[in-house]
Amino acid sequence: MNIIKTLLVLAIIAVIGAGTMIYSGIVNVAADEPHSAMVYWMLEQTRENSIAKASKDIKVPNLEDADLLLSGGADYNFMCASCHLQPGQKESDMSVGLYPSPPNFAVENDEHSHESNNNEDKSAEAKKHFWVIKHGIKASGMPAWGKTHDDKRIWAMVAFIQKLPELTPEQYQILTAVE
Amino acid sequence: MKNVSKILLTSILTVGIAATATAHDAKMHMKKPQKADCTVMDKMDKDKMMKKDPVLMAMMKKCMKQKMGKMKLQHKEMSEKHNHNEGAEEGQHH
Ligand code: HEC
Repeated sequence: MNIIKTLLVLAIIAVIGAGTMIYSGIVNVAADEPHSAMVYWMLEQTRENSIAKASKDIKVPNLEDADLLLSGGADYNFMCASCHLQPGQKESDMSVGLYPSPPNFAVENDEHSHESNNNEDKSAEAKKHFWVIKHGIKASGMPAWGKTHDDKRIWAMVAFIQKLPELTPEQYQILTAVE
Repeated sequence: MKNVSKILLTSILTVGIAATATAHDAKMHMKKPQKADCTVMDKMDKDKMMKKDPVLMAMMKKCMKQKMGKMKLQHKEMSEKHNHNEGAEEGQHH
């Protein structure tokens, strides 16, 4: 009985709390004001776990392929570089202004660098990348490209992103150029 | 009991966070199409070409296409010039 009472009280508090947040306008949605460390941590964990779970059964095709890189390169330059940058570029309006900020794919990510050390982790990262590119991430600037692009083109971008940290600006230019 | 209140507190926070969600306009700066700058390929270390590196293969593929395109164009220009000269010569004969 006591448990039910406590639950009820908590539920009411929850509803009132949520209502206050929704209707009072006290929550700051400005992108130029970062989340508190705790909120950031919660969001990050939620996102990472969600992506890992959703992508774990995806089969990764062979990504070491010249044609994939050419297709992915042109698409990346056209659709992604404005946010995710390119070799030799440090920032863009989008990379600076978006919050959460888009990861810079042109450099080896500290967070992920340990991941790309062996093949298994590389494949796990490829799965995650594929899933995110296809489905996007809610309430961030990351769009779902799967609505307008088939899986092959998405894998091509995954293949290209995998090579991106080791590309020089000149190599990037050749791979991404459209004739 | 402790767990239940933890879960509830977390859900309060989650709703609160969901309320802070911002949908950003994904407007993009359009890029102008650019031709591949294949001059760097000519300067490249030929030893590296031996490796079966997909990045290198992709670059060679792209630049090969460009070279072929240029050769075709030159060929066309030359044969056009040739035809033109022939025409002029014939004109002088008469
Ligand atoms: C308008 C800006 C924008 C564009 C354009 C954009 N992204 Fe993103 N992308 C983001 C943001 C912001 C995030 C981070 C979201 C987050 O952390 O919640 C992200 C995250 C990602 C991630 C997950 C990275 C990780 O390690 O968790 C991948 C992969 C990705 N983007 C790929 C792409 C590709 C490929 C394209 C082009 C087809 C693209 N993005 C275009 C803004 C953008």
